[in-house]
Amino acid sequence: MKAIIINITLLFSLFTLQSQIKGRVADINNQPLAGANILWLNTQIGAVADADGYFTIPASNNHNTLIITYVGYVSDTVTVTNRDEFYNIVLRDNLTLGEVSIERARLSTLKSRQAIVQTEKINSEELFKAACCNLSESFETNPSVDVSYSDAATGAKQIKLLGLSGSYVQMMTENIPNLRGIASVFGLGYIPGSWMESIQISKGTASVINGYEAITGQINVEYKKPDGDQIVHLNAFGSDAGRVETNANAAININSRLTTGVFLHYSDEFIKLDQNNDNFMDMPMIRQYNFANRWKFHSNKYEFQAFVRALSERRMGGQIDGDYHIGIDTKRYEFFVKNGFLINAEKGESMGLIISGSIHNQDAEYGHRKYEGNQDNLYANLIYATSFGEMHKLTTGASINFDKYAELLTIHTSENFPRKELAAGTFAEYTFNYNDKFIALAGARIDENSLYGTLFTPRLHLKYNASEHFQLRASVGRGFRSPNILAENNNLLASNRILNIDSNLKMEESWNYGISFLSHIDIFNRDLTISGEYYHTQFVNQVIADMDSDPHAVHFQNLDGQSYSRNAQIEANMEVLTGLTITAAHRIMDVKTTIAGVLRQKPLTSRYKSLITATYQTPLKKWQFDFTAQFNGGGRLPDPDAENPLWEKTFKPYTVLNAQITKNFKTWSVYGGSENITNFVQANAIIDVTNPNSGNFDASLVWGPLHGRKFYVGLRWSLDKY
Amino acid sequence: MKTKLVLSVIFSVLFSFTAFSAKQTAIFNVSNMHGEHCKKIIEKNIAYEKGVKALTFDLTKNLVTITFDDAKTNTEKLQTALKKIGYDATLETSKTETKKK
Repeated sequence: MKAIIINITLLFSLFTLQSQIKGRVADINNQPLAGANILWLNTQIGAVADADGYFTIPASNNHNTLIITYVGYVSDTVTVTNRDEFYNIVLRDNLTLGEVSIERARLSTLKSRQAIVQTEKINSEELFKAACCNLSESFETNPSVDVSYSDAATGAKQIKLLGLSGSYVQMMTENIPNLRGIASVFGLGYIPGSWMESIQISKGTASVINGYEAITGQINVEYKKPDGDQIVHLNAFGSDAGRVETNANAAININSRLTTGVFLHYSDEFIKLDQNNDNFMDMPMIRQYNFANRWKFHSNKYEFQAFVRALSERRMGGQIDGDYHIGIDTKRYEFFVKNGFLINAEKGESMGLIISGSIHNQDAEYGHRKYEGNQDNLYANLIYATSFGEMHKLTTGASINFDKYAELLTIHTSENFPRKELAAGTFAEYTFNYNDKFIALAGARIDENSLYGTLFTPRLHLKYNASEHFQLRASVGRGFRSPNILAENNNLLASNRILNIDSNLKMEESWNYGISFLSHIDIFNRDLTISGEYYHTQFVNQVIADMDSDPHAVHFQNLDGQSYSRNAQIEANMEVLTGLTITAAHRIMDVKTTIAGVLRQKPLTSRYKSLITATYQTPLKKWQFDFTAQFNGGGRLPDPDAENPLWEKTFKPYTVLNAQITKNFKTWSVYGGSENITNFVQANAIIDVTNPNSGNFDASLVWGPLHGRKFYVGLRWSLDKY
Repeated sequence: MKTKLVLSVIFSVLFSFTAFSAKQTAIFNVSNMHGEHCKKIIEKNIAYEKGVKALTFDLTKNLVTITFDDAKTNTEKLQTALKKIGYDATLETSKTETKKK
């Protein structure tokens, strides 16, 4: 009896395995599209249409959405509801039609239901809400990432994720580590807003594929694709703070397989801005030229992408009348190539080879302090992916990363800091997927680092889809990072603190633990999304910048004791009325470090942050109104001099409001708005501002906005394939 | 007294204008509309057709509901506009609702 049952189940499963979905792909004139790719969405399981456009694809128990792609045509998705149905798919030609879309979802910041790693996506629609200007401004409407000025002199901005500095986040462009080391200081300004298609933020430990870095998370920027929907895009922007900016992108189809994209950016901040009349520029004047070109070649089994970029930037700040000047000249060159080979479509077997490199040159002076930094980077990653049935997927490979630093620091005397670091490693990552209900992603890598020895990096992600409306995720993983004291603390050069750097600094090492949930609740046919998360980052070793023991010095040393960051965040998002979407989020941060033997709150870090964003779109989306309110909690400053305190011990909570109105026309849109409407500015941002050559001078104690209310207008025009 | 008269004239003029224009709602079945991408394309293009007041989508049933001012456009014109961007639309139902103000 038992045997019969087993036989029946076996037969049944064989039957379902053999069942095929059949269909045909054609254009709007019913001409077959031979060679069109048909894939189950988010898998590598697929088929190719034959000469008459017909295809058969094995039915899937875990997936029901097919994505159909064909070069020069708009990709389409089809939901398979009935396996016996014959699916006639019509793809529309890129050129005959009029307009566009990049994102596929209604709400413009998405908490992905699909990703295994907790990921938030900022898509092009969300990017439009922060009109100006580059990557650093793109997080204004995102509750997870904080952006602040790193000092009151250079205009450099830094991000914080999970309450920790941006250097603990692995920055990537097109999924390749980028903007590391010296470039991390001003790097957020190197990616113009209109070049970006989307940004993905993943919190907690990351995948092992891209290396052992990523201690608090990863931020990945996708540039606009040459085979995307946009043909030409122009953007012009101006603000009353004296910034003008122009951007132009174009995508060119060379033929059905080869496309190229060109990106141009020019921006200029030409006013010596001094709103608080302290004879010290609030913002430096910044002029940037930025150019990139990318190529994409695509055939059925092979895909090739190449990207080059050159950037030149000059920052000039300091005293308006006086001899303290700040000048920072940067030149940066980057490239990457990506090769993808599809070995076996049905098995999802593929191989990828990524090579990237950069040359970064920074020549800076902060009054009498001078810094010349040069960093050459070369990176290669070979990735092989395959699957064993629908439940098991394996990704494995090897990577090398080489950094050569040459840094020269002049404070009274000159000192060289040369460094070469080579890390070579191998990794494997296994995905277990039980009917999309329970997914486990377990990965590990072993690297040999020329300076720090052998590094073992295990990481684990779990995801449980309790129902379509409720998901749980958990993650744990280790991370490493080599400290780059001078590069990452360039902002301290805009102070006359004495720099004491211990010679025995170790590699930074940490464990990150996270849990999160995502739930969708149906309220009168509207979707209320509620998510909550808790992340704990525990440092095993960290390089501590002790600014407390001596108000006139900073001491870089190895952690001796505890150091952690604990973050709890809750977020709700809903379209409350037709066209009106509201997001509210609140985050509590507890970031503590042992400084001079005492476990203390990390300075210049807010204890909480709340964010409310509201967006209203008129029924035909011709008008859009955006409003953002940020409530930032207070915190502490590094200890001032006990006898002669020149600054406060703590800072109080403050609020920042932004608003923007956009009017859309068919091919263009015009927008205007105001940032920091309440005009809140941090007072006393530069200590002893009138004597920049004195020992008290310090522009690095920044916790709040440095720039008052700002008005801006801008124009976008784009010609899209549809 | 005079202002009351002026106001009543304005209101009656406004009323008479609204009485002339009728809002019509048409439901189209668009067979080759699949997913959000298509929705976006239709939205972006049809929103700027003359006379269109509102658009709603039912992606599972392939339906697009267009509310329009029938003094400025009609169902045939909307069908042509959809055809121009590659969508075959057949009219399911349409109803005229004279505006009451």
